[in-house]
Amino acid sequence: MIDHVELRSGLYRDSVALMLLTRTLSQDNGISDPIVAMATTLNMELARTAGYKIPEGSGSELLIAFRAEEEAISRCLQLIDDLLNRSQESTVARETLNHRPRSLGRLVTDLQSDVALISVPGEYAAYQAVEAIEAGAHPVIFSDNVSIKNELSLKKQATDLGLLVMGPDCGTVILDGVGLGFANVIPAGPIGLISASGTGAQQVLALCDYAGVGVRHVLGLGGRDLTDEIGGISAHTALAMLEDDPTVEVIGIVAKEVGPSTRELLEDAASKLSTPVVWVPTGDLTNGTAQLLEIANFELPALPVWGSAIERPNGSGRLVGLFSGGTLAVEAQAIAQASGCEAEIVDLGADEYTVGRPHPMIDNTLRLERLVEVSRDETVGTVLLDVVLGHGASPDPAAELQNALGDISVPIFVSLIGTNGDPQNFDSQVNQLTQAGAEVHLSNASATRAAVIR
Amino acid sequence: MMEQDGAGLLRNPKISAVGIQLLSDAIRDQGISIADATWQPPREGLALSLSRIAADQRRINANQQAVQAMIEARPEVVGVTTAHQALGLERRQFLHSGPPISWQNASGPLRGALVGALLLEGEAADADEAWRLCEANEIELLPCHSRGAVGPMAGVISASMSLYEVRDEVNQQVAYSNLNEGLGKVLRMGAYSPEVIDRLRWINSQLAPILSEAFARHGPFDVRALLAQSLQMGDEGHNRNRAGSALFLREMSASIAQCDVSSAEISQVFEFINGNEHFVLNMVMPAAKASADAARNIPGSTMVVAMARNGTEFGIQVSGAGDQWFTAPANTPEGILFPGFSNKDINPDIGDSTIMETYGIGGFAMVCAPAIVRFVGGSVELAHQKTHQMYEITLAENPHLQIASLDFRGTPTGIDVAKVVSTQILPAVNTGMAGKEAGIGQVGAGLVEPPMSCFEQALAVVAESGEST
Repeated sequence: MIDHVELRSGLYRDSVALMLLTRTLSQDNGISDPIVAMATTLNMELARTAGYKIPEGSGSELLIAFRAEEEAISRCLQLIDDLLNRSQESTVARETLNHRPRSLGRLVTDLQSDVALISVPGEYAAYQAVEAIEAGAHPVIFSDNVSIKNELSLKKQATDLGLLVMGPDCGTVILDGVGLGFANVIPAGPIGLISASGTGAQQVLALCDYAGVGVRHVLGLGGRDLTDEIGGISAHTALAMLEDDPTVEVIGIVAKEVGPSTRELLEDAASKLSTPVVWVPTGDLTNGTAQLLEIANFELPALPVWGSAIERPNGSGRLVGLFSGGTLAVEAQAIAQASGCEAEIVDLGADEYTVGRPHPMIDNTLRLERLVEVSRDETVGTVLLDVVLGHGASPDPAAELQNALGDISVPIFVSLIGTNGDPQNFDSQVNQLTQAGAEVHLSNASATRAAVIR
Repeated sequence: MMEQDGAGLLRNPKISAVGIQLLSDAIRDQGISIADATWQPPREGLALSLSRIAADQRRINANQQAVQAMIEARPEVVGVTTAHQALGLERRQFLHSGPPISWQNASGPLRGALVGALLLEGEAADADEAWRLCEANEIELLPCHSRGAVGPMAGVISASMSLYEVRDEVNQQVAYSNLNEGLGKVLRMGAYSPEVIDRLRWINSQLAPILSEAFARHGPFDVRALLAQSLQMGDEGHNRNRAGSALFLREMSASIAQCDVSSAEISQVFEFINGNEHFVLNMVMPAAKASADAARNIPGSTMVVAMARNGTEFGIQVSGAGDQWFTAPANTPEGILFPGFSNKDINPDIGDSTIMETYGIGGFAMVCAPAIVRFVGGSVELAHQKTHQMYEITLAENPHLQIASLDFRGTPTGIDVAKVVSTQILPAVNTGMAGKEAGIGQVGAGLVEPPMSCFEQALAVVAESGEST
């Protein structure tokens, strides 16, 4: 044991605080006879009585004296520093105070949140995200209309701090089974998804759930992360995080447009992981999901179809697709185009339709208006719709659509993107839609293929 | 506190949210607790600045550097000097509080203080002559801040005035302020009657030499340590300095008593300090100034390094925008008036003492001083609310200056103009109130709101600077 004695100036602490600190120190087995006190005449005398050699000091200085083995001294000093500077740890739970923060950064710091969900208007979203990053939370940016410059900068700033930026325009995230934004309910399982597309990920979730395979995480990237302008910054972080999660056995990347050099670098990164990585292109999500399941040693069963569309009376007319999910619309467009079918596929969730109106996944008003037009349009031969279930989506979309569908005299096909656990009740959605005359598919590709051959 | 991996993200993540209520509700429906920020969109037209700020990759580090420099400063009073000696002030040069201003735009208290200073310097035989010199632009006006000084209220410093010299060895900064004259009819409030000038002469000829000798004997006086104690004794360091002044006298009395002057003169010094509960304000102000100056000129930083008022305009300076002042018309404080005065007697906000809020105390540490919550129109509960709000617009908590009633949480330190604009929460400022007419003096004390426009302008300029990097 050796004596450590020092006087620190400019460090005032209340005497009661120092008494408590000294008591904490004396409970440490490596420390004997600790005295941490302001260097008043009384305290200095106390320390001398305890056998310490005490230099001259003044009452505005802090006396630190203790005995420890030589090799333990630096640990003890560190402990004392930690205790002296522990200003932030209040025993008053901050959330119980009646002050409700306006600032996201403050809220994240007070509650020590891991994740910050941001859905303010796009022009304010980047600043909110930077506050979250500053406070140490991973931002999920649901908002769209964030500039590419802001996106790039946010992702660089987050990377420096070991944080993952999900978004902007990130519709679907699942973190350890908790859905943020539009997310389906699915049991935890061996698959972890990284997704550049919200509805794309939801289609994969619907099919995995049908195959009886769970998904623990969906890490959304936003639609632009995989372009060469952003270079997959978030995708790389997400890959590393899923690799480090021992419960993730297979990683799926749901990808829209992928920049060539971004793809190269991501494939290179993926090849160095111990967890297998499967690309699920949004051009054919169903096929991609089948491959993903195969790598995970599961199988995608035969795709289910409920109900059957009426035969088309005159055998002519174009296909009209009225979509709420952007990626699903693009997938349908590609399949229709490849089949040579005359098709008009509209993404009603696109910005041009949603300014000042709710997104069609939340509220079908917009789609109902279009369905009325379609029912009167004799050039229309077939109708194709998506109905997306899950958290965040309309509580009963089939009920909203049922009457309008009943008024349509041409064949109707529906991609019903949902799982058994979804709050809307999958079976009831199927029943209402088939009763309205629709043929319901779980796979959007399968629904589209059925629609184009009519 | 930063996450280094996905561990927090991928196992029972704790979630905060801002924006659409529906999305938060969808998470609550899953049985997960989530907290919503009560954010409201700021005024239209600010989105561009905020987006640019968000894109500025210098900012997070620059702000940390700025606030840490301010927090780690260890300002000490090293002695007493004069404005001529330390700042090179000549007899017709005068420092004043706040952003730059001309005599023509100056308010009553500033004009009164300038007249008094001309009398003190012997540049005018009487008030009328002093007034004429000012009208004829025969004097030069400079902000205190431009010379490394700060002055409470009118903040007028003239060549012969004694100044405290405050040094911070950590960041190698130095700052100055004059010696506090006491309450009531005083130069800093715009009074210039003979008793005011006589007191200033006594300060220069008697008080300053004695304090100078006492400091020499005592050694550097640690102001941060004094504040750490006084904040736990009922002071907030701006409008209440009773404990701090007592602590100063307690620590210095032995050194003062040894000065080679008569016991009557020593007694007079003790009596003067005892009669002035703001005696220590003119030491804590330059201490805060020296600390904040270490945070200046850090590119990309959106931290406020000075808030100051000249009685006409409120101005702020921001680390990432150099010495540029961002100004707007000063508001008029609200509070409690001395007997015999009414609201129409109150001058618009004046003084450099908002350096205390810049440093994270004063109005920011309102909960430390429950005795004066009535000045700020309310209850102890309201003081708590105020301090909690200040944590929303600041970058850090100062571990050296703790708030006992918040379980020794550090004071909210380092005002971020981006946070001010985004939350629309203005810094809480405590202040003395000067009479509108020259010569009146102090009329009360209370609370004042800085104009939001200062923060918006500053944000726009730092945001713009990030565009070109």
